[in-house]
Amino acid sequence: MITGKELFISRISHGLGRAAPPDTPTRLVYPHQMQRRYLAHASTQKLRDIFIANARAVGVDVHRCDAGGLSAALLEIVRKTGGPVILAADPLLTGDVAQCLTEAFTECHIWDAGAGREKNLALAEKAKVGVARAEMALAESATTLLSCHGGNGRSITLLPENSVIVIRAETILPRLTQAMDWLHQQKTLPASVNFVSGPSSTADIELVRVQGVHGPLELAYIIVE
Amino acid sequence: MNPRVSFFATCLADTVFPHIAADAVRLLEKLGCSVTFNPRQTCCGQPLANAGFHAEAAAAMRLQLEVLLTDPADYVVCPSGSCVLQIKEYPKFFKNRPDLQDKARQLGDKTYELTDFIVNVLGRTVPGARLDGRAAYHPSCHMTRLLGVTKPPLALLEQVAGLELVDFKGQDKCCGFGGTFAVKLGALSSAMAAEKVENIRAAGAHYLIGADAGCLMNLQGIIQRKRYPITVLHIAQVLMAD
Amino acid sequence: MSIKTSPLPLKERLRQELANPVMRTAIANAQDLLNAKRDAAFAELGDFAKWRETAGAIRSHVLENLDFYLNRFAERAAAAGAHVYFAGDAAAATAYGLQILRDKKAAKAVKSKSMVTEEIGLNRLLEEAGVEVVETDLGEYLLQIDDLDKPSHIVVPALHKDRERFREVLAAKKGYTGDSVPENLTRFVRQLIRKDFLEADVGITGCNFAVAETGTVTLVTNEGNGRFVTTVPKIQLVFMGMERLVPTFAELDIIFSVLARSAVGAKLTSYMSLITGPRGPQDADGPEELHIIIVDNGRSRVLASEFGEVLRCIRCGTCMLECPAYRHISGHGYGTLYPGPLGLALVPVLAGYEDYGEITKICSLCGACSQVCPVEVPLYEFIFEHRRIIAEERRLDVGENFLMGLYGAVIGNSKLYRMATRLAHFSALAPRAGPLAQWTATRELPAIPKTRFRDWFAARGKKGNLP
Repeated sequence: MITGKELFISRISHGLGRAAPPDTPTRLVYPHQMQRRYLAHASTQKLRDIFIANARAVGVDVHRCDAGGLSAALLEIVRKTGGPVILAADPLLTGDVAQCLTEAFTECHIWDAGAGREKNLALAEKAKVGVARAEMALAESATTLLSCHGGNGRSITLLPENSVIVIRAETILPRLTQAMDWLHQQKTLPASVNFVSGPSSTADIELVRVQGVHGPLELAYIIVE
Repeated sequence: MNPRVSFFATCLADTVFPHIAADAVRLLEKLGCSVTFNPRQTCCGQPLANAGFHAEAAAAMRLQLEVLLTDPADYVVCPSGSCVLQIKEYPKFFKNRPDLQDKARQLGDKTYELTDFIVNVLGRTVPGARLDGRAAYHPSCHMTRLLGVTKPPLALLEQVAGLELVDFKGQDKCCGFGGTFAVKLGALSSAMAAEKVENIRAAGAHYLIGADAGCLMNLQGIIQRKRYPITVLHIAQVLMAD
Repeated sequence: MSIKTSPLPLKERLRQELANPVMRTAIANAQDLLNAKRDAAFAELGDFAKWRETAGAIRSHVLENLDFYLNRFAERAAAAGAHVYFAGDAAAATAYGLQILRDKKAAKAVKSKSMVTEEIGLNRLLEEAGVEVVETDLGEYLLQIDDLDKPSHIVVPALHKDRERFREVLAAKKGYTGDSVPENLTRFVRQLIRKDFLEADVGITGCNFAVAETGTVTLVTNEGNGRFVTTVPKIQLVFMGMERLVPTFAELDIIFSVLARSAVGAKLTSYMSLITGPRGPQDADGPEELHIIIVDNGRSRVLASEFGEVLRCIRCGTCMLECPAYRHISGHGYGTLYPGPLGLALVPVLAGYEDYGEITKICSLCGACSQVCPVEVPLYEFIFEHRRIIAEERRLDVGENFLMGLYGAVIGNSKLYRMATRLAHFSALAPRAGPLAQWTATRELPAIPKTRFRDWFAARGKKGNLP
């Protein structure tokens, strides 16, 4: 629903010297395209290595594993943080991984959107670790893109003290430009897309960096190759 | 080559720091220029213009426009980056007078700040300059950021025998002069100048050198009030020192 | 809160701020640290000139077509399920927000920092209506509980305070018994606010940039509060300055790439939330209702003026971190919600010369701000032009007008000038009053010699050297 649009926009149009908005905007010409050059022809390995270096530089704990080793990698993390664990309902995480964790910990939950808000928020609130899969990752800024809808609740990587984001190595792209290209191509967008580029932090007190404010205190990436 | 230079002294040098203007003239002559000075000149009008009083500055701008184009000279040279900036901006002030705008462009095109002229037009360094000691160089905002003259003063100072240039913290920051700003918001202006002076002192400089008398007057005011043993010199004086 | 953040007149504000050593040290350190980080970030990125030219071109394009893009944004956002409300002024914006909260019988709202909500004075009105409003950015929270102290910077609002002051406030207001180590202060606030996040009925945010193409609103934060506020409460209100748009995601790339680098020297903030409509039918968290309130409040007047390009601003705050005057007085010295060079360029035309023209004095026209602005707002030129308007069209200060007129008359006439400069030598006898006192309070005046340069030059043929 839209309210108050006509008068508001007509004020702007008049200020711009016209009676109403144009049917099409003037043409936007980019004076440069430097954003497309970055790591333009880099190999998967190079992108992965740069991603890892940048992630570690901002305090992210980075693990690597092969397709079959994800459960073990997650177990290693969860043994340190303790449970309960909340997992996104993602094919990569449900199945073997979920079973493995459940066998090791009594409390391992999978986000079940159908169970409703209160139930899921309560589980996320009590969980020590939240695990989700990223759509893609960006080497330049060590960023992961989370497409939050359905079984991939926003709260999974927000409420628990520890956040683990799983990334397929082949989805590591150069920089924000590629992520924005991807978003632009989507026919419909989920209500929430989150870019995560590091642990929660602040510098509001004397510009001293403190890690872990309202979001998770610790962030880990697991790269699956 | 014997370039003919019409000298624009600036009201500040004319009245308060005549040695700066005199050294600038002698320097230009030493480098082979023949220098004239039209005594009808007054002030470029910048302090008024910067404070928003464009109409009040108009008479002075028209006067300089007339006076500085009168003498048959190849160049107009001035020992102040901020005044040269103002002169080059004259066309903007004459938007309603296309005839004056043309003359203003002519004048702007042939007007140069002193060190810019020496390095980029004459292509010279200054032989025989000598000043022993450690010196801090203050780059004036209008000259560097707005007029775009950054390297020439340093190129010339590097050639001065015995002179050791030292960097200092916050070297690029504004000294707080800003024309009438210095007397409108004197406490704030002084705070800016005082910080700069403390940094210059902390760098162990014996000399403070600059290319704009307004900035130098401001910093010198603090230095003298605090009785710091730092001698303030315009670059023209340094280049003529031996 | 509105635009005005101090009841004191200009000179008094400056006196107060100059006499605050804690703030001056904090701001100077912040400037040095953040400017170095910004420069390093852009050096690493490379091609700063190209990035800012591109970012500036994008912002300028949006302003040129703002009616078109707002129209498109509203349609797409509504299609995604959001309620879009266009608020002509602060009263309309706050009234709408208040109505929603009343309808929902909301008792508590959690807020992620938003300059536009401070501009419209939202918090005070909500609280008067009985809603508990909790600011969740650490700096804003600490200001809020410190008897509503005002922000001194648009990105790091509590820049003027040190850790001791934070500890004192938390001890006095929230029973904190720990030390002043930032990590400990932060952990304490974390557990306090976490309860608020989970209990709040409403989440209120600003919007860094909205994407017209998809009706998406975005939030960039480091702390995670922006994500909390848009995830847990069932109702979400997003307040957005009308100029904060980009056409598509491609332009968002450019703007986000320069924003965090310019603001704090980081590549990106820890979190960037892109929100398109309320939660989907298959989603268990996220707001059930999303209201986007688009605010004019004087911006259309700015857009129609010769200062329209100031609306390119992406609110990175670097102009004030670069400013040598801001360094000594902080945002509080300006007495405006938007301080520093941004404030000087924007506020007189956003909110009137009568109340705010005076702040244009707080500038030495050094030009540093223009050089660092990531979207090439012509800050120097705008401040310069405001001064012309104030002097020539508004005639605010009779005394100054007279002196300037006199000065202009003297330098406009060769004979008068020659006479006046001959008398200048006797300035040593002048009383140290008025403008002169502003100088001599802290600085020596040079002694004016008897012989002017022109006298020396004229006498050259005969003798030669000045004494």
